Amino acid sequence: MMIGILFQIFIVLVCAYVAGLLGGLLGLGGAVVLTPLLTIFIDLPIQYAAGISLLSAVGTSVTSGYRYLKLKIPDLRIFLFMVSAGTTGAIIGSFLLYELMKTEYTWILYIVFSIVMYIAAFFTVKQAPKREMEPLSDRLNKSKGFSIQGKYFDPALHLYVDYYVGKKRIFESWGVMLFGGLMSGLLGIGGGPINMFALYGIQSLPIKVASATSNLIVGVTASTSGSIYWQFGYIHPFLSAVSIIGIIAGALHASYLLPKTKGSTIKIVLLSVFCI
Amino acid sequence: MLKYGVIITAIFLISGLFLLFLHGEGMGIPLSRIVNLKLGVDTSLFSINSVLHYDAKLDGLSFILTGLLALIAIPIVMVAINLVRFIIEKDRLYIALAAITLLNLMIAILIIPRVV
Repeated sequence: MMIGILFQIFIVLVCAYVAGLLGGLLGLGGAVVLTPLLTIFIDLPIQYAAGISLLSAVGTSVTSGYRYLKLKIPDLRIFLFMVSAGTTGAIIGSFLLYELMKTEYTWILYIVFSIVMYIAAFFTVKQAPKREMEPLSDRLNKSKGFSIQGKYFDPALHLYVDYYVGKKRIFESWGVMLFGGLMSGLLGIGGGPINMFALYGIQSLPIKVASATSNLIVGVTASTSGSIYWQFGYIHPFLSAVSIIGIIAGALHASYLLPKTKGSTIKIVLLSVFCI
Repeated sequence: MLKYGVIITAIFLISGLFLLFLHGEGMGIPLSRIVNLKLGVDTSLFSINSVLHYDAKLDGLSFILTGLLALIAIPIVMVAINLVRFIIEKDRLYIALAAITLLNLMIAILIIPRVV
């Protein structure tokens, strides 16, 4: 029995490490990656897999978060805009879920969600080219009125990269996040892909800023749903502990890689995850 | 700040796993049940008080639960710190946004589980 347990620990550690690495690089939180891996490789019941994924999403978020915050990559103003929308949506979503569970139309949720994912993927592809660099003067002209501006140092390009987000884009993405939060509350997920759609697809943030900011957002949404799952008894303490140790290691590795990776590499990996 | 949260979580989780195998049980539950994939342990039965009570006895399972609780708390503390930061900067818009977020988190954690 002992060998069986050790083997399980090993598999879970490896899966979690991979999820942490991918999640940290892409700002997806890792739940998208870990749930299928755990259900396939160790045949874990889905509610435990989802519970572990939520906690792991918090793990990825905070682990890579502190490195990024130190490098000043995430934009905290945008973060606050997005989480205020996301959490409001999540609460409306959980109440909707509660009402919907009483009826027999629950399958509608899954169809709506798949459609949303495909739309998000489509817009990310459509927006993909024409970035990394743009003359500063163009941006300054556009930034009249209320906007969020920022810059970060990109070690891969050896440059300071400036960005700004206008009022219209902020409100559009606020709406998307409200909707994203709604979906996350309904389906009990962290909502990483929707964050990326709002930040990268709509706000046109540089991909590194988008993915580092999304990382922090995922932490907040996942810790909310995680605590609700705890009350439902869906958290498997032993496996969660093993997974989170693996996740922290993977996310730590990712946070050292991200500043050095080129934006285009991240985009390619992001798109392939969307496709799966 | 996040850094210390992660370190605390990791220390509790790793030492919890070791203590679990050392004692062969945790919080009165046998090891074979705790590692069982299908059955698991019902977390809804453990209050924070009971977890802290077992922590004092160096219990493996309660150490793991403490680590998990610490992890869940980190993002909430992060939003709170941002609230304080923008209060210091007197930036009303972001004070409001951070306050809304914290309020939502409290609703989700304290109120929703009781309603549903």
